[in-house]
Amino acid sequence: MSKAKRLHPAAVIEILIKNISRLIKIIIGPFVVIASSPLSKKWLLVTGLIGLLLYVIVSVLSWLRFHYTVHNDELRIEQGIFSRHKTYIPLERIQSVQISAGIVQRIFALVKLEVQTAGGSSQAEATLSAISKKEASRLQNILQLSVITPDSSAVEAYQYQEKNLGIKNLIIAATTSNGIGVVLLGGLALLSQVNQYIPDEDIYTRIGNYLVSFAGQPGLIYLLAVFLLFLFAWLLSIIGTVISIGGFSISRLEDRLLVERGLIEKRQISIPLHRIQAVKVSTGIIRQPFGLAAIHVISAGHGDKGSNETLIFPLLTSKELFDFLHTFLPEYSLEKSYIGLSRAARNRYRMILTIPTLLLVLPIVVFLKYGFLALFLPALSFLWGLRQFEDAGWNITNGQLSIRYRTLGLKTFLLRGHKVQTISLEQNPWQRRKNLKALSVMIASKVGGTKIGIKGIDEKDGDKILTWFRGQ
Amino acid sequence: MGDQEGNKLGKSALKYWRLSGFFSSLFFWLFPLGYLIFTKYFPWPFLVIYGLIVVCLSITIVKTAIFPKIKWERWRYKVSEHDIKLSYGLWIRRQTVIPMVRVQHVDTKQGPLMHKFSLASVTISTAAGSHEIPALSAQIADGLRQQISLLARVVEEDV
Repeated sequence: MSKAKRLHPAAVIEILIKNISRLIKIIIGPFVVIASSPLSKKWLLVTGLIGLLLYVIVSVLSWLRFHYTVHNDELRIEQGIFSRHKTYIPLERIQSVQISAGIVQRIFALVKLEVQTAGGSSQAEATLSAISKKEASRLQNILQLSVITPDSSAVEAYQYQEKNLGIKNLIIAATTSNGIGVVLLGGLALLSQVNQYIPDEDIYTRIGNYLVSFAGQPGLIYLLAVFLLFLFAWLLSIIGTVISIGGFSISRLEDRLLVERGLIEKRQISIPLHRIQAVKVSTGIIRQPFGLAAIHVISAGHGDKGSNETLIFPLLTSKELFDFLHTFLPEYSLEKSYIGLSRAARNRYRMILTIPTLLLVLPIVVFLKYGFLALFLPALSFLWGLRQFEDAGWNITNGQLSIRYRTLGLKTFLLRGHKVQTISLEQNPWQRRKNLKALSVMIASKVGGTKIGIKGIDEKDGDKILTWFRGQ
Repeated sequence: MGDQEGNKLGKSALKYWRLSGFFSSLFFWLFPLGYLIFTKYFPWPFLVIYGLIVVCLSITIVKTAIFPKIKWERWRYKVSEHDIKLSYGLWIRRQTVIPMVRVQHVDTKQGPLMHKFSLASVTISTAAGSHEIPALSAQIADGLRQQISLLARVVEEDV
């Protein structure tokens, strides 16, 4: 295996596209100026072609000069046309391996392989932009199976388990995703912008008149418009979710998790079990009535786009959940009962949002007819705060610390004591008076660390957690 | 687990904090100074300057006499074989436990003003951020750095 290899020639196209798109970003401004100047079009074409040719040559050269090999338990990459840039990654430092296929790769039936270590940057430490699928799975095996797992005794001899997100569940996942809220807000923002550019009497009134004649009552139009907007936003969010999590499947190969997803850009992420720092079980507000949850893991190497977490399964019923954890994450289990927050924190949770919203809607209530209807906002805040108080809690069982809290949806973090980096207890003057503490647990994640915490636990409970942690 | 156990920072830490608190409070004195200059050119009431001076004086007193003292009284660190325990905080009191096996590296650092007091800070880094023991005597800081890095090296563990 010590023989250095090149990427597939299609890598040239990938490099070329990358280089050109980088160039375009820089020269787009000057280019517009030049193109509109009275210079002859012929010259422009000639310089353009020469430029393109140069870029092709550079791309071919960088492909020729790119070599990779696995040698002495290291992934070695050498690249660079003039200055040689060498990257050596010891295999035991590799956190995760991601295999994906963009458009270029799919045309040639190739894949891209990215290797991530625990280093601080969010970019992959090594990228092989175009290799055959066979080569990718060969590499993946070498890169990750040779790793000495510290607690391999916990893993049974050989096993292969797989779970797919079926079409039915994909549709359920897409229709109940939280994306709907974001898209709706985006749509509203867009509409408020569009409003500024379209004169009042134009299309709006015409459609309005039509609708008035149709619905008979002007009040209904707004309702109808809001409804349509909502429907449209929902559809958009469904399409987005389907594209991103279509074809989702998870499999466990001995001590590795393989997650595959994506309709347009296919991705496969491979994470060794012992690299996982925490498991997150989250139930969105829309999914809660149906008892559906999504599972994420936090690892020091990989996170989904713009996130420190990696989705490993998008939709599970509460019945499936226990089985799923047992099969794919055998070190973790979801507890049923939690030790709640201190009673003394209840008022704080109820009032923290209620008072600001009350002050906010007060002018409406006082000055507008039917303004009292706006009181539903503070009432909602009150109930939501109460719910947050009731849902927050912690639990320690068999070396696992569970922390549960609610933002909008419910989140439960499962943490193994020996994966936690530090635990802190905090107490501000108000909490000191009420014998409360805020718990914050730091774990390693893709960029820096991730903080998981709840506020308002009893002082004595805080000490219990610290004592447990110190005994680990 | 009382949060008052462990070692205090040295007496010179208090002196250092008092001095740096004093310097940082000087910034606020720019306001009465600026106002004084303005009264030369504009018909602004001169009396306001006394108010501003009183405010600045109290800021300086609080930042040199009161805050450093409380901060110093609160600071405790304890290094044992298995973990490092820190507890500190003026308003928000914080207690942090860093297991020895989680420590990735330890640094000592010394700014120019700290050098005058022969003080140094110890920074303990984990895979999820770092923690600092500020203003230890340079000698103790060096010893602590060596002690922690020795203890941390005994158990080599990966994230």
